[in-house]
Amino acid sequence: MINSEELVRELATGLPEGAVRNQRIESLLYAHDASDFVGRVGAVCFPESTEDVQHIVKTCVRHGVPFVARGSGTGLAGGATPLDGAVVIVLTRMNRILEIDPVNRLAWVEPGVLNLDVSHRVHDSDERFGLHFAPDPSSQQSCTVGGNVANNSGGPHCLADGVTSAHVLACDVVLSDGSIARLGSEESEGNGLDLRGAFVGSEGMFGIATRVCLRLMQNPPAVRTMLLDFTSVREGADTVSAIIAAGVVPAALEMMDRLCLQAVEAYIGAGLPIDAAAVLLVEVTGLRHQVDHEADLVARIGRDHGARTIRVAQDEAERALLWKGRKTAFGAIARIKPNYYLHDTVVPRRALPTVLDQVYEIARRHDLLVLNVFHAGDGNLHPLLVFDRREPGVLDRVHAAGEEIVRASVAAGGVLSGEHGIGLEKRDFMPLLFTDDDLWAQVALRDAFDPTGLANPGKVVPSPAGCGDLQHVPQGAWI
Amino acid sequence: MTSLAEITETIRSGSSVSVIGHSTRTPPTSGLSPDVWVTAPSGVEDFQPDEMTIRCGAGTTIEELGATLRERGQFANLCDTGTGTVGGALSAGRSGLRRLGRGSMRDTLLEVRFVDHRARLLKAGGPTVKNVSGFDLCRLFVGSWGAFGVAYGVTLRTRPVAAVERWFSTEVDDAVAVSKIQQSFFRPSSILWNGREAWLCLEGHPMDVDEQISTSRHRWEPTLGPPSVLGLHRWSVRPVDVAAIVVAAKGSAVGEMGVGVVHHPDIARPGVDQPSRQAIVERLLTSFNPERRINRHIDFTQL
Repeated sequence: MINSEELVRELATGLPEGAVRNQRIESLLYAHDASDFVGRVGAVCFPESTEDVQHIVKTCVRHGVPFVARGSGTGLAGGATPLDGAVVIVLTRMNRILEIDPVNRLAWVEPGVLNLDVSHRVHDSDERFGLHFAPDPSSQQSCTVGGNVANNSGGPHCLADGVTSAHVLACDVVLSDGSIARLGSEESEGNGLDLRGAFVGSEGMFGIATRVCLRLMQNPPAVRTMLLDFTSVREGADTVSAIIAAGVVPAALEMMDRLCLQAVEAYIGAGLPIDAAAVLLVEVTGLRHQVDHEADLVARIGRDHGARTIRVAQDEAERALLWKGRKTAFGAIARIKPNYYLHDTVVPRRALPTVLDQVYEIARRHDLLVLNVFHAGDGNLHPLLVFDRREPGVLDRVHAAGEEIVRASVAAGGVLSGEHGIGLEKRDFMPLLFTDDDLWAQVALRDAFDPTGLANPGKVVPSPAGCGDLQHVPQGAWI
Repeated sequence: MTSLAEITETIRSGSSVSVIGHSTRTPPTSGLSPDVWVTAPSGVEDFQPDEMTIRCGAGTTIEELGATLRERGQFANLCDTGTGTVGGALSAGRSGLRRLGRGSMRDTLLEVRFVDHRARLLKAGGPTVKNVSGFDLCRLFVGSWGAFGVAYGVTLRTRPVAAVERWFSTEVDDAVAVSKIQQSFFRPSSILWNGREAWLCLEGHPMDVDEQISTSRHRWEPTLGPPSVLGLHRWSVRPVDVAAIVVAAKGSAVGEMGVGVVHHPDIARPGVDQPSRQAIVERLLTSFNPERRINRHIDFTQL
């Protein structure tokens, strides 16, 4: 039995004043992330240092209380939803950029630093090219580096340069016994097992990163952003495979379908072709001759596959406008319906046309609207089921349709998640991909990092113990 | 080649089993011998150029893999690690000299299929390039020298081969000048320095390569390739320390600038591992290789 008063008192001892909260407002606010799963908070802590995190973790373990680290709470799979009265460790006060090495292109940061703040800070660090942190999830203005590490986050510009794991060199981690381990090193193939690689994407279940060494990338001197529009989604999807097969790996290769285009156009007025069935937003970057060559190739492949028009951004302002359309798509959707459920699966690129057809059919059968705006170059689907939560029974239809989309993706040779993670949302789908023996290996890996089982329990791997005192978001809530 | 059935049967029988490839790499050895040596299945099983993935047996040779991929203008980021097998390259987990531009080999393994110590057939990872479905056991396989089981099949990420790959060299004996070189080229594939001479590898469009070279402050001469680092010992250091180590070695060491590796005539001093990290490794070994029956010829204490 948890003695919460004693727990809170012990947590507060040694932490900055006001760093532990257990009032109703905090308990409600931190009971969920950006998913529709609501858990139960034991207490909320706001550490400011690694030592603070150690103190919190040791205290939790002494009391046998689970703990959940979180940043801005932008996760969409319930990974940061506290279960069973877990202590929520909010890392947003640990938001310093500690060290930048522009020559060797790396930076040490705390986990609460916002993703986009890293790129803003290092933009001028390299005199000639400038630098940036490559992972760019749509939430990059508000998500934290710690959250990116936990989810192995991606983003539109990860097609060529890889997701977070390829851009994290090392992490200082507080383990569940309160000790600190440095996983990885500034030399990315340091001696010993790649525990860093296993840690990235572990959804807070292996420990808590309190310092992260990021790999930085040079900004490309030349950029060409193109919008290709098609009269069928299939033509657009086939173009994606053809571009990759031709040996071009664009920096980004995104698709938006008609309903999404219409919502975005009404929102930002970018002159998007709202009568198109789908558009591809393609960005090639690098040195100028390579960019010219690849842009020509992309245009030729697009025309060969039925592209009606090919719009090339003429300046940075037009490029920014096209990207604004892509990155604000989720907000624009509020013009259609007040609520949406965003899915995240990956399919082989060649399966995109078939699976997209299935997605439309699934939505139609469940009497739902679906919009598709996704990382086509990665085969990373993001079907958005839009709905009005006030409509009786609609949530059941949304969840049923979502499950069918997940199953269709896996049946097509795909996987459960490309960047949102498993969390609570897809935990019980894991047996679609993995056998019991495969899952044993994942549990063994988790146990090696956290023998106490108190670091964010109940996520990722299905367990007979069920999912704790979890509920879906109450009626009327925004997800 | 040992069949998968033979490998599982041997492990099930309780024998200790070690995998042998072409013995082109040098693992940390325990001095122990296994009851049975096995080889991993070989051959390309499925190559999807438009997916940029290839599935093959772990015993497939680097040469066969490279030849298959070259036919479609692609490569895997382990093809330049020398000879031997795909499984061997992944076991060692050491990228070639172009890691600065191509990234780490650790990002190349998408899926591994392996036999564990209980003779079960297990899988980790998945067939797509982008995948965060579950914990990333694949990362642990790369560089593990077979600690977790007998890998019999892998799926690898591939990439397009650049239009040209060119090596250049120039005389430069000043660490500050080398650091300016690091910042003056756009995403070079490699910058090596021995304290007297620097080598540069550029990949991409030929006109971009020419333009970068012609606008450099240094006079770069075309060269056939990188200097040989055969016989030198690999030091893993902070990238910021590479130049000083190279200078101190007075021409006998080659540093991978921006990466943090020095190829040095002296054996690297062993680092001091943290007990917390060692404890994780020990628990992993206890779960995945409890009696050290799998690859017992390896000294896993160095993991």
